[in-house]
Amino acid sequence: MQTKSIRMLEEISAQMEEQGITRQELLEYYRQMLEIRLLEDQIATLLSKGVLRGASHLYAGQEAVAVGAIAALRDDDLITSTHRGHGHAHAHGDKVAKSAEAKQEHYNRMMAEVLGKATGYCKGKGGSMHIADVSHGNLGATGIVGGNIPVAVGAALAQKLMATDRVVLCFFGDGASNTGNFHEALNMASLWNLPVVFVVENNLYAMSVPWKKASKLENIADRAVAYGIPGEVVDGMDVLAIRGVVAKAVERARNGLGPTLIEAKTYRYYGHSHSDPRVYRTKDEEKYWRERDPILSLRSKMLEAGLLKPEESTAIEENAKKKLNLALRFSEQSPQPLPEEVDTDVYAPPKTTIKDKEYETILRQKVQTDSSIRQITYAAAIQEALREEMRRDERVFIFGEDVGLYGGAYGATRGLIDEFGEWRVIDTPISEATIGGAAVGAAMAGMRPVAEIMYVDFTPLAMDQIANQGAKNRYMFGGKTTVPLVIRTEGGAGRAIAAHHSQSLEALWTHFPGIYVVMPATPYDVKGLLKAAIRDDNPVMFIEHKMLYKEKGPVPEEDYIIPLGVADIKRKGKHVTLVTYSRMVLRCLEAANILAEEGIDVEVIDLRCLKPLDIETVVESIKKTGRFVGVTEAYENTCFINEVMAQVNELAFDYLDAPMIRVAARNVPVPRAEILEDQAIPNIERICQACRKVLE
Amino acid sequence: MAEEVFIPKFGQTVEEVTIIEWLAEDGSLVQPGDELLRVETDKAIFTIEAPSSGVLHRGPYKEGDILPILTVVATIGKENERFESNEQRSDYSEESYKQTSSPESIEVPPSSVPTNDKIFASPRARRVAREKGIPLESIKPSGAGGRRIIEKDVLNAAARKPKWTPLAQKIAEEAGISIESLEIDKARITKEDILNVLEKSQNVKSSEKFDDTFVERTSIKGIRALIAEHLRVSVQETARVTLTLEADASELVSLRSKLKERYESLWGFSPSYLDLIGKIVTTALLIHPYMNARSYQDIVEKYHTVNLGIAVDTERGLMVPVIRGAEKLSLRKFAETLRQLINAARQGTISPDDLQGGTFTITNLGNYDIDVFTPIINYPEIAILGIGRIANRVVPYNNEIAIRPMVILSLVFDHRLVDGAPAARFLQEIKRLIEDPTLWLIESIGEVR
Repeated sequence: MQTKSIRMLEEISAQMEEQGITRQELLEYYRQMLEIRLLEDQIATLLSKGVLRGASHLYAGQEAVAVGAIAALRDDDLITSTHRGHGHAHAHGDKVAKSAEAKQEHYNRMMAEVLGKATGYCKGKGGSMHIADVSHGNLGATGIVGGNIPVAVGAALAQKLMATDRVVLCFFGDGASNTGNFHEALNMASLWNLPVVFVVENNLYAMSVPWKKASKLENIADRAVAYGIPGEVVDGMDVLAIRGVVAKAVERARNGLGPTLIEAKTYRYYGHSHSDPRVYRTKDEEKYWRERDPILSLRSKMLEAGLLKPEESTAIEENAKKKLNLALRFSEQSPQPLPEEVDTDVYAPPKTTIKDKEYETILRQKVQTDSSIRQITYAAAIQEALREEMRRDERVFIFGEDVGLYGGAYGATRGLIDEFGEWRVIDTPISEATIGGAAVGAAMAGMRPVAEIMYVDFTPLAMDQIANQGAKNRYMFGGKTTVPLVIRTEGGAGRAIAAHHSQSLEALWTHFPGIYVVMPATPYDVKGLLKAAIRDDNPVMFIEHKMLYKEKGPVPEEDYIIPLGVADIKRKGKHVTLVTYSRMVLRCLEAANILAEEGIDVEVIDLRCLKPLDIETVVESIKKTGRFVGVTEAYENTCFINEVMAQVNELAFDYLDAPMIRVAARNVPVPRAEILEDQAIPNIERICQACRKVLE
Repeated sequence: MAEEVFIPKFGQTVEEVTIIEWLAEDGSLVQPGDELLRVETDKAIFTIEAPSSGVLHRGPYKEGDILPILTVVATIGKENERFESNEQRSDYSEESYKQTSSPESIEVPPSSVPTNDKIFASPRARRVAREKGIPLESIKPSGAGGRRIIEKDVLNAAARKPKWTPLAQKIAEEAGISIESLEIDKARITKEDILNVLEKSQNVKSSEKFDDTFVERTSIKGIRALIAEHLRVSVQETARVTLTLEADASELVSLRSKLKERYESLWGFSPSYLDLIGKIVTTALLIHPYMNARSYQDIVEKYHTVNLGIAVDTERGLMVPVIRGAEKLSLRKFAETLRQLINAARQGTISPDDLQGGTFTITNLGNYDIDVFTPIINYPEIAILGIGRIANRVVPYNNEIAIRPMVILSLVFDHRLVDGAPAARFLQEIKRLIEDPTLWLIESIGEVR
């Protein structure tokens, strides 16, 4: 007995000494793990009683990983979490809360969020899978497996660009290590030596599929070789062991030596979720892991070594139970969110005011009438906008494929690398998902990225990152984060490059709440709108048109912005309201000239922004004309013009004098041959015919 | 579940009914077939029977109430239940009623009787028409190849109507004067015009107020109002000209007495002058189909089949039952049909469908010693024949003075559609057939021309 105690004391003392931790800190780890366990057991009870609705993926069994890893961080470091995130949220929140009251409040808010209450971390909008505390460095949990790995890389990129010495700790599971995000993100992080530590919690099952059925490798950590970074395997049931390994990796990252992949072998006691019968594993296996319980083993080690008295242990347990009861009572007594809260927190408030709108209206008239204003191309206008905003705000940076020396596939960023250098105009690997996700992470961590996806046809590769994380994080986190990013891309037909490089996919992007979609048609518009998009605090999908880059138009030399969500009447008329955007504006104006000779006076409205949509300008026009024709280069089926038509139907039905007509691309992939492309994409004659028809 | 008792759709065009009386007490036990209430359509009375057995729970409707068809007026259920209906009358906007009554209400025009199509109008046109108080029925469509009314059509129609100043409109609204009801022949109607109208109507009202010599005072409503409206429209829409001529009825009188002698006991009745003249007119219409017609706005439709309306005086007012396909009926069948229709009309059991779709009408006031009169055309028909009494008169006959039974015929026709000479020829035809009714035997089956 005596010998065993001494051996324990020696072992634990060695670990403590090596890591420089005190008995008090050890007791904190014990308390945090215990509190996670109690919380999870309580949630399991609430779920089985049917009190709690929604999914909760419980962390019980894995407590040592979250507590040990986060113990290795500084309070100003950052973390990203997963769908099984209560442990991360508690270890982090408890660590950064300094007083007993603050720690209780944190525990309360976590419990309240799981129960969907207004007092929760995310005001009841996120729930179990989306607890976040961005202001304290918890960039939040995600419901998408592997969804936060690129986000963590972006947050780390932000640290590098801001030259801080903060480190990002990125948790994910064994399942996530088989997603494309994992490979793209680890590659990018290692390439740039970003300060990020990847902690993969291998709890042996991705839902029901065991690791050995999902990979040929025994250890996930072995994959580190592929990215030229260290890979470590650690006992995920030993809080001190984890803390030790992570501390080393954090140190390395902080010193600019780049990321480490740490695999913690661990086990979740509950099923994947409440509805999981756990048929894929044996009782013996569960027993084996429970005997290695991280909480009990730390407790017995400390008791053996005399670092913990039995009465202290009892007191810690009693306090934890009391704390849990308080949190539960707090949550139960907390109000539900108000029904009207449903619409809040989707978008960050606009940066522009009515005055900006009025100013722009006057400027626009001047641009249309003052022939002394210089003429520049659409591409040059984009370059100017980027240059001016990068000079104005050092948080603005560009990254994407071929944006540096090459200057982008259409030359829109040409020359910028010369002025701003390769760390503000960053060439990336071909990794669309991580370009999108890193933009999200960098934006949440304080930068204002302008990411480029070369073709809108490629944006679906980044859709999860931009739409699921970028567009929704603000709402899911109860309005407590902003994601100020711009994705610049270009679309449209006209170069005979067929269906992977010629589409108009804006409707994919207008569909998601939380992201704006801007599609300018002229040099004046593209400059003013891009500057406004960069300054706006919301994610913006900024879709240029490949056939417009060489188009010239008047652009004032002064610093101006065009507030988002203001349409422009490009031509006044009284017989037909022709609503369009992007390159089709030019075709509609040509059609209007032809129709004018026939005595048909067409009003051409350029929406400029699809979201926010300026439906008032459309409705006012229809009140005048009574006739609507919508023109888009997108496939007719579920195109954005349909949405405009639906809104007109709701807002101006009584002003319509004829059924609305749309002119859109045929529902076929954009073909290569010019003659076929002309069939597929609305041409001037089709626009003219629609206008004649609506007047019949 | 309680069973609903509702006002059924009685005919193609019946849209509302008036409750005449409840025949069963609220809360009483009823059996299927028990008579629950009597209602009146524009021209007939119907009894609504219980569809099932149970306790009757009457809805909040009383005698004299006007209800749209398909209104649930009562429920039959258990004693402790109460009247409850999702389709309270107050919910019955015209729109919802149209929807609930489909698909039965989809107008399928009978082959011989045209009905108006649904009016297509753009939302914008509807809004402008509503604002300007112009009924869509009065607007000629030009949109979508002449199918849809568009804003321009409403504005054109509005340009033909006098313009109202906003103030005049407001005063009129407050006084409860509808814009359509005022007929002021000016391009622009101002406050003064409305005040003038108001003053006049107040004068009329006040003079009535002090005049207590009238016997009975009733408002014009129900069937009387419908007759009034119908006649008003006819007078407004048609350009009437009356032709009269005298026919020698000797042969007709003799034919009728022969028929009476021969068939009265055999048929149980003998044909009347009205029957005989009805068949004669039918024949004349086949020979001159331009008189056998209906008109709508800019369209006139001539028919090969004669749907002959016969004006009938009833306690409930004037009715015009229609004998369909009169040219196909033998004299006996014609006479029997006419008797059935007259009976039904007088008892109020006639189906609304038997009261419409006529192509020509005859009206007979001979029983009341009337010789000549100018009846109103049963619009949208284009002519009507008035038959006077058959009376002995002193007339020249074979260059001698003779006393012969004569009848005066009065033809009123719409001069917009028929000229005087063809109308006269038609009337002459009738005269010829009356004076020699045996010709009718041959010509009625079209063997001569």
